[in-house]
Amino acid sequence: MEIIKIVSLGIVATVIIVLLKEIRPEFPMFISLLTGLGIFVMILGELSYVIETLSTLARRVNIEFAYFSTILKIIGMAYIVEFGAQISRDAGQESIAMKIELGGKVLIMVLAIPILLALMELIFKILS
Amino acid sequence: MGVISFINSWLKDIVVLFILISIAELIMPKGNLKKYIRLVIGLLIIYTIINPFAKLLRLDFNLDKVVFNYAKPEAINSWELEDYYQKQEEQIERIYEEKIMKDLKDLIESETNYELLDGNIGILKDEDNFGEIDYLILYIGEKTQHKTQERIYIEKIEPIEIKQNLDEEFIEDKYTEDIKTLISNKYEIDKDKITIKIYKKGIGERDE
Repeated sequence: MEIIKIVSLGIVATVIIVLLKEIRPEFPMFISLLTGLGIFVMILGELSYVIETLSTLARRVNIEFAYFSTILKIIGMAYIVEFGAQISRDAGQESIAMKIELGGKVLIMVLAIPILLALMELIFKILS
Repeated sequence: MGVISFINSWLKDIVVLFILISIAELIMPKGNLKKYIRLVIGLLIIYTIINPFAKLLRLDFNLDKVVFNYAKPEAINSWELEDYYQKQEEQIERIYEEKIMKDLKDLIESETNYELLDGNIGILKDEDNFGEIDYLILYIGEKTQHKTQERIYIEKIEPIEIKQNLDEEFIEDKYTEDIKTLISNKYEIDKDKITIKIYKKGIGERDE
């Protein structure tokens, strides 16, 4: 049972962090980082199944696949950015978290702009 | 019927798209970046809704290609780029081969009493002599002239038999030499590289 593994990993990590906080204040951050990575690795297999289902669905419609893979890429980037930003925030580094999010936003915009421009071109072509 | 199938496919696209989006929303992370994902999804919805109009107006619009043109070069994976170029190259090769075939067909039909039925063409792909013809296998048959309706009907069946045992039915003989010379003069290729097989309908008919 995957879910029990994930939840127990989370609870154990939380207990360890609460206990260690009093003795060694610098450890909790590493543990939360490791727990995050561990949970992510556990769900990786399931996640790939979800993504595969989505891509089969996308192929059945007339959606250009480049378009849909861009959305998946953006979702993935958002997850990674959130992960990094949360860890920085947990460690009390709000400003670093903001910078990570800024980087994520800019890179997502880089992916989104070609689609925006292509759509504009299509609209202008239809209207002209 | 055209209108109904048009609306049908359009509706299907929209419905599947919304199912897709609801699943994508489920796996979306919480937080600040959600609105950026929503922006892109919104663009996708707009595209799906207006795309049929572009088809209706017979606009030649390929979103993949336009996105590719606008994208920052580094944003595209190198393998995607390679794939794109490879597809383009294959397409060019195919068109090149088709063009040569059509040329040969016209040549044979205008210069001789035969017509081109089928053919294989091989093109050299090394750097020094790219595009030169490596080998040429042509299947030709006697020109079919005016026919009545029934004759055409019978003739239509024949090619099926031909294809099944192509090599037995097609033979090389002295008539092919003339055609070989003709082709080798025009394209400046070695005669040995050309193989011509003639399909004969029956013995004796050829001298008519």
